[in-house]
Amino acid sequence: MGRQFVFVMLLAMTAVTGCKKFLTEKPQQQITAGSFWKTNDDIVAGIAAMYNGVQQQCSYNYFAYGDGRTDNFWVSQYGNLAYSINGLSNATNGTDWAPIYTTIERANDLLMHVPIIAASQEGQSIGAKASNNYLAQAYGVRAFCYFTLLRIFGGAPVWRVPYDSVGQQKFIARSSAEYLMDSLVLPDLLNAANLADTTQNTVWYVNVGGIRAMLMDAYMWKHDYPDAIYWYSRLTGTNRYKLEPTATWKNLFIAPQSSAESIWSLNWDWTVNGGASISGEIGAGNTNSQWWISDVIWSYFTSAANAKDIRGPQSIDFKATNHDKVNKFYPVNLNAQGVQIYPANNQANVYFALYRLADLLLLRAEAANCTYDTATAINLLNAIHVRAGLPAYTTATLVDSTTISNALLAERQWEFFAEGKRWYDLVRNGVVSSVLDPIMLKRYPTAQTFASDPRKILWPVNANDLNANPALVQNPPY
Amino acid sequence: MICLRRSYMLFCWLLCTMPILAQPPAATIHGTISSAGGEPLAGASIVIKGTSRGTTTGPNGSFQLMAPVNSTLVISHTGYLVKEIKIRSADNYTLTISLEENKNDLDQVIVVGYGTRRKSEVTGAIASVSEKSIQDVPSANLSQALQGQAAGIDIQKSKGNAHPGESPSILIRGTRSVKAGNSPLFVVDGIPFEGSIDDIAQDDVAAVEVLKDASSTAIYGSRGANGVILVTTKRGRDGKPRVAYSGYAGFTKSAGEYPMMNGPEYFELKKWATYIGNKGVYTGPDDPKLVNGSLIQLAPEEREGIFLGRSTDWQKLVYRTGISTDHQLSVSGGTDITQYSVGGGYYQETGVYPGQSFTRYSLRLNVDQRIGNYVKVGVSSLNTYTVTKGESIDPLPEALRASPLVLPYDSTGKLINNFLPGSANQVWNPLADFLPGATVEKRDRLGTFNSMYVEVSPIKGLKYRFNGGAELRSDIYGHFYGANTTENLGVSSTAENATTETTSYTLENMLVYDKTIAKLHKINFTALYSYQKYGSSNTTFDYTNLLSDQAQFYNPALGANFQATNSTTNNNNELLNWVLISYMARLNYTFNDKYLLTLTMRSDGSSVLAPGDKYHLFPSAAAAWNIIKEPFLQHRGAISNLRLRASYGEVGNPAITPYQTLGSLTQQTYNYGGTTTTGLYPYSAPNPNLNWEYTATANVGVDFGFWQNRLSGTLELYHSYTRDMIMPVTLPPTSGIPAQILTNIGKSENKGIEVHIAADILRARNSHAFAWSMDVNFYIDRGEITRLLPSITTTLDGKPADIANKWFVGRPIGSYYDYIRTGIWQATSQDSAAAKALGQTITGTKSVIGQARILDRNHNGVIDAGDEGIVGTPQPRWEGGTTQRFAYRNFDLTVVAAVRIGGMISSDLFGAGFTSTMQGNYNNVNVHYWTTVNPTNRWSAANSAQTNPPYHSTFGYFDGSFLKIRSMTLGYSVPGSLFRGTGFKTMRLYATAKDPFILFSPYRSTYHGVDPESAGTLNVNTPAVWSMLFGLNIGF
Repeated sequence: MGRQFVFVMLLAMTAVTGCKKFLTEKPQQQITAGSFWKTNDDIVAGIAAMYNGVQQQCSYNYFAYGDGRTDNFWVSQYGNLAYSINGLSNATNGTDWAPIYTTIERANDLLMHVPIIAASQEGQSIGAKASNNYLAQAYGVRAFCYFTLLRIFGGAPVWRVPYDSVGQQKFIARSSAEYLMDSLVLPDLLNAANLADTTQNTVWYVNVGGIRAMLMDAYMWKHDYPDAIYWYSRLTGTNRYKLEPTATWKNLFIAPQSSAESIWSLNWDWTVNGGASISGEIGAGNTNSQWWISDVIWSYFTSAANAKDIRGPQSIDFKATNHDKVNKFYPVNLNAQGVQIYPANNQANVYFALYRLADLLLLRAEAANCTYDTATAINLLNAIHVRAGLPAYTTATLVDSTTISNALLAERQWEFFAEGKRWYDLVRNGVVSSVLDPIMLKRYPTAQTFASDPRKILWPVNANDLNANPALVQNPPY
Repeated sequence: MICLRRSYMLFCWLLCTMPILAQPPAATIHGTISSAGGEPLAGASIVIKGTSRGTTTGPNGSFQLMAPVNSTLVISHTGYLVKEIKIRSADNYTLTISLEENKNDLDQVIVVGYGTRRKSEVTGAIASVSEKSIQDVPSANLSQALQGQAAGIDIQKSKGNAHPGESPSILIRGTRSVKAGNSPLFVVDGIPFEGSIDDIAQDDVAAVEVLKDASSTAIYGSRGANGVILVTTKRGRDGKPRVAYSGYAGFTKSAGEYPMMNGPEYFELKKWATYIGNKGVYTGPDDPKLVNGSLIQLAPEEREGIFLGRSTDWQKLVYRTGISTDHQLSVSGGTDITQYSVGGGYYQETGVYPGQSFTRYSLRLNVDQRIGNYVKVGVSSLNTYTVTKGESIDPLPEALRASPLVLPYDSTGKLINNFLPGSANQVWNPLADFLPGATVEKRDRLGTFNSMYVEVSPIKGLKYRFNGGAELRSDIYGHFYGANTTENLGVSSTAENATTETTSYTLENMLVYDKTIAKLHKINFTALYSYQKYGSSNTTFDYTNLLSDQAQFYNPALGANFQATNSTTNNNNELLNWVLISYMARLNYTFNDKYLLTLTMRSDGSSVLAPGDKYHLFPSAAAAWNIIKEPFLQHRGAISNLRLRASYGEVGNPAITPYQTLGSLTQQTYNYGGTTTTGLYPYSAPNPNLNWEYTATANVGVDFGFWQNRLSGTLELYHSYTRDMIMPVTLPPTSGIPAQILTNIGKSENKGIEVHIAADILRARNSHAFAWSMDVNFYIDRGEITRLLPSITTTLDGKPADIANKWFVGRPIGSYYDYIRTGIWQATSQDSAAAKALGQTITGTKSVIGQARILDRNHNGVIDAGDEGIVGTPQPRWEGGTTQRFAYRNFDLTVVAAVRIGGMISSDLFGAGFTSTMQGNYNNVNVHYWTTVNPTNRWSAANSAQTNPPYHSTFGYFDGSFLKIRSMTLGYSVPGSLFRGTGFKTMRLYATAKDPFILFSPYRSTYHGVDPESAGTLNVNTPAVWSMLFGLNIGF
């Protein structure tokens, strides 16, 4: 009996050994941070996630930031009036930083892991050219995010490394807009410009053209015209871009990949990511728009004098009697009555034209005008003006830099209507108050003017963002 | 001695026979003795009262005895109440005697975690539910059968849903966690049970013990905080084979209809809604311009219905009578070295809608075998196959909304397989769900739960035991809903397939040492090492637009738009594995049977926790004092038991799921214009600090008994403190991590009182007399959150309040936070002025007159979010249950009731959804709504201009009190003389009314709701039911 007992005990003891191994269970169905970032495929997946982040952050906010508060649009009865009456609050749609920082996190992940993978055994086949181009895209996208932040919100917290453990410092205070520009956006873009593979030119990626365009845009924001002009020359030096002809202007929005004017566009495929929210803002088939086209734009395009401007009917649906349908981003698709059929909100593909040559060309004209090179300015302005089907400006009408500046702003307003550019143009030229206040007061007599408190040009930070991070300070006076 | 006794007997005999010397003195009696459950009792003693003459029963419970006429037989058996039977005539008797279990017997052995103890030795707070009590309420599963049976165990239908096969929610001593579960751990035959409690047939259970305090649950360590329910299945005993059959059949009906409007009432509502919703257009609700004009959403068919005086009762068309059937057969027996018990069962319940049913086939086997003098082995195997149909099919929301003015049939008499006329064409014919193949939902579960043990006792007092358990389950689910069903409202057909495989195995090594030193010091030491591994994998996919409805969910290739998502849990396909390694030691020390001490320590290591922090300790201590053994209480007449117990310890709640500490990435597809790439991005950050929740409980208990324990009971007081309660923290958006992070930061407390009393009010002196016994329990639990995230800055009444999650310091978990409705704004000048002062609209169609009047709680002069406050809590003032047993001659009557007093419920019928919109476009719950001629302060006015009454949810709160008669059973034990020669030994017929009455419920009596019993919001769902069952128990 005793021997049997010992035997059973021994059997039992065998079940006790190896505890450490017992208590390790690996999840097979989910990918953990520890098991990712090993191969080229992982980088490709990370890059796709990053562009997805750009897409998500643009889906609603690109329009809200660039057009929502401007004289291009008025908020409809279905939208939030706050945009139109200078009444943003810490809960207004667009104030939340989460979509932008989600993209920054994804770019940071790439910036940290791509060099490690490229240097590893498994990553050797990637090659320096490809890995540098991955890094260039990550730098480019991160700069795009911070550039948006500094223009809309002023300062913002700086995150250069991925957040990969809850123990990490998470309450980071805001750095100034100047710091973001000089220490993050510009260095990132310069890095990207150095690293980018100059043979890549697909418009759906932030290729070398997009990076140089962004550099020019950033220097223009700084009013650093020599550098802006330099990067414009580097952009045109690629010999890749030329203006889309008048007849096919619409291609810029419905088939940007086929246009030599497109520099960086965002693709959209609703079957993969759902519909672009911008459609619900300015034109979807199944819902009322949140914004109406303002009278400023409507009356410009519908006046007899501008009947030749080809951009009007290709941007605005004049048959929509309540002025709430922008048809710019959709191919012509008419029903039997000749009325445009719009896709449902959740099935809308909108290809955001983030940068196209016309934008940079007019910025170059602005730079020329600001550096007293009015001839170049008028010349470049006319390139766009004439393409639109309008007669060229002459020095008879554009008599000085002020009239040129106004003509440039107006041209940009018509050319880039609903493309998310107008607000930045107004801020960059310092004319937010002088342009918007009279129009706003005419329609909303009780609205607070920008002149009464210019600090309200910046957006407020969302309350959730503030609550989640005690180190953050709200933009005054919000 | 012998001489003395003989002469005494002779003397007695002389005394007895003297007056009747002339008559033949004796009758020959044949009989069998069984437990109330029909199990024959071997070794029961039968003694002629006043003599020492008697006999004991054989293995099959039978005996034979000569007894004089007019003598009395005294029948006794350990663990059962003594019974006396008078012999009235000299005829040869065949007696069938059943003995009542004596629940107050202090020598009764009960199961505690990893062992057994005599009742008098227990130091923790344990509630026992006997086999008889478990059988009292015929139920689909064990948890339903336990409702109201023990103090501190709160069992309620989950969200008020009563579909066949529903498993109720169980709370032991209240709610203590906001994020982690509050469900107890089930342990079946010593092995943690990971399956559904639906899989245990009521008839296979011999006893249930509920471990409540930290001392008794500490041996389950990290899994003990929510209490532990120990289930013991039936095992064999020595004796001849005993065969028992029990079965019943009966019908089930809905316990009532939801109180919806009939045709004329609905027409009246539409008139009022249109009148009020078009301010100034009509002169009144009966304005002919209105009645003949544009009534809100009135279809021509409805106008026809008004004309014909039509009133369709949609519920009557939906409900039908369900059928319940149960057959259980068992065989048990054995010798002193081998015992076995085998049982098989079939249970089926069909619901009150077509398409709903629950069927279970079960097979159980238990064998215990002694090998030589030192070794004992045993196996037990519980196998079930269940089929649940229609677990989430619910045509009721549509049936309640449907206009009573229209018919489910078109003008040709065909069932409308489309939307019904009226109601903006948004309500689909609920009866179309029942067309063949329109809605199909089926869940097949196959489960096998097996355990075995080897017990070796090499020397006296030392025992080594090995337990092995293996549990395998498969769960195959599929549903198909046609396009024109109430599930899809004409959009497209949908289907889902889901397969889950679950495995769990447990290995335990246990050493037990028993020793008595110097007759006074008893030591019992238990040491345990246990390893448990759990694995579960799930594959789920949804699809739509099936090419052929006929294929249902059997050919997914016919569908489109595949999604690998579980629509019910919103989870991706998942694989979950965890391992738990435990070391446990327990010391029981008893001095002179008076002073008892239990020390327990368990260490749990879990794969779920982060590396470096995998092991945690769970200590506990308990002491008891058997005061009754003290000399000063000996021979004190009335007091027959008095014990004092106290315990303290800490146990855990395994709160977190596998891999939660690791951080994860999630996928998102991106299309670069023709090139679709799957992107991956960080979703949650690694969280190595995440840990279990811990609950420390202090418990004091008193066990008492009077008059030989004819009255006995238990009183428990407890206070538990839960720390490290998991709460989600939102990371700053700047981190770029979307998922919330869980942190162990919150605290909660629960305290309570539990009382259990058992009384034999009338003991039957003989088999003809009237007997009455009862069990009563009642209990109070008060829980509150005591700590939230320190970063929470919002407060309610000066205490931290997490408004978003509705968690409030000083308030119970689940408190209702809402606006406080003080009445209805009346059409008076005072009210108009008061409403205007609060910034309310008092003109036009949005006028608040006739709508909810909300308290300006923060007195800031406007109604805003700051006026929300605590409306109530679902926590009842007190709860309880009782079982009353009556017996007279061969009849027995048992009544089981459960009671819950106080506590608020939130009913979707009145406060959310489409049944109470008051808009007049859907049929409405029949309330006496406000009108200019009915200035009620309870219900808002109808208004076609608003989709819901303002502050809709404030109309949904009700007092949730009820007393529910769970069952009333009248049984008749057929006298043996009636079935002599059939081979049967016992036979009992009974009729049970299950859930026949819901009493003291204001929700039901005043507001005509169906049943207030609901854990969580009371949804509009399969209504409560009641059943009438007829059953038969046979032993042979």
